[in-house]
Amino acid sequence: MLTSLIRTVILLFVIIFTIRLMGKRQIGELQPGELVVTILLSQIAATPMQDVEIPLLHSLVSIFTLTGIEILLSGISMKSVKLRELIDGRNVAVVKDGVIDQKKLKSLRFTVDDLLEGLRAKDVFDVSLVESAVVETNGSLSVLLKASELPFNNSSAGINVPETGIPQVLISDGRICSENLKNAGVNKKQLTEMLKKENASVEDVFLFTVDKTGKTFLVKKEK
Amino acid sequence: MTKRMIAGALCILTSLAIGVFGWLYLKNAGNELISSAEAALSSGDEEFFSLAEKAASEWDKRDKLVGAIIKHEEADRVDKLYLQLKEYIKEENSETTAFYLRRCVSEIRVILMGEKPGIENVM
Repeated sequence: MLTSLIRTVILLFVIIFTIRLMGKRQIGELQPGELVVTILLSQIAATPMQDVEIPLLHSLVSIFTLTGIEILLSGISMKSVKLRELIDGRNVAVVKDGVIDQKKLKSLRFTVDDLLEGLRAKDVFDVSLVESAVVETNGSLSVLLKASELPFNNSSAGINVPETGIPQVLISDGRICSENLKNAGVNKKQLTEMLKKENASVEDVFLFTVDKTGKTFLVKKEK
Repeated sequence: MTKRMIAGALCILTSLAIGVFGWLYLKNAGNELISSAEAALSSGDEEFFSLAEKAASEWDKRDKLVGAIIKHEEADRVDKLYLQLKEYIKEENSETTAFYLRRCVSEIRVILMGEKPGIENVM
């Protein structure tokens, strides 16, 4: 029992380390090659956790080999388009100039229902509104609406709006986020002044953000 | 990117090092265990038990590392054989001691064959 516990802890840390080593793409958008490696890694790690008869070294060798090959292949495929296409495949336009390409759909083994489902997932309920739809290498569908159906925005109206950037969290649950203060270019004196205007102290604040334009947003703690 | 590539290459090199070291150590240890057991088997009556004892102690020196390399089930089997061997050496039962020495040799040979990175095992 104790052996299983120790082995599980070791394998957990090794897997976390290797997944971190492979990069964030592993977690978010899995390409075919990455999906295969992730499934294999979880299987290789899970088996020796349950079966103490399998030497841990065997699993570690497999995990490090898979991780190493994955990193090298993804590194090389960044420079070689051919290798990238070989491992991950290529994206396929299933709707082009507003016309559904039935041959491409067949070759992908995509049914009309799959296409409609993919469009609905992108909030598009009418195929006739679609100018272009592409099945990406990770299986997701990217959609471009016809120009007449694109949402109206400031740019199309010719209005110049200043960039606000990502609002920086300056205070979170009564604690000052020093790193974000630096990012926002705000010093502690300025922060105190901002809080004074809002009639609040650091301890009372649940959330306080500021964007590039200097616009602030404050939520006080509930008492 | 380069740092990550180096990390990837290090991962593969680590695996390769563990694999090569594991196989070489196992081959070396196995051959030594076999030759010490065979030395005892081919010796005369006077030296037989002292050489058999030496052969048994050879396993004690290597059991931990060999156990980490081969399947634990196989290591347990060899461990059991050597424990029985030691008991018969204590009793000075030459016939059964020789029998267990031969069994240890054949068991180690089977393990070495199973771990050999040849086509028969890879496939």
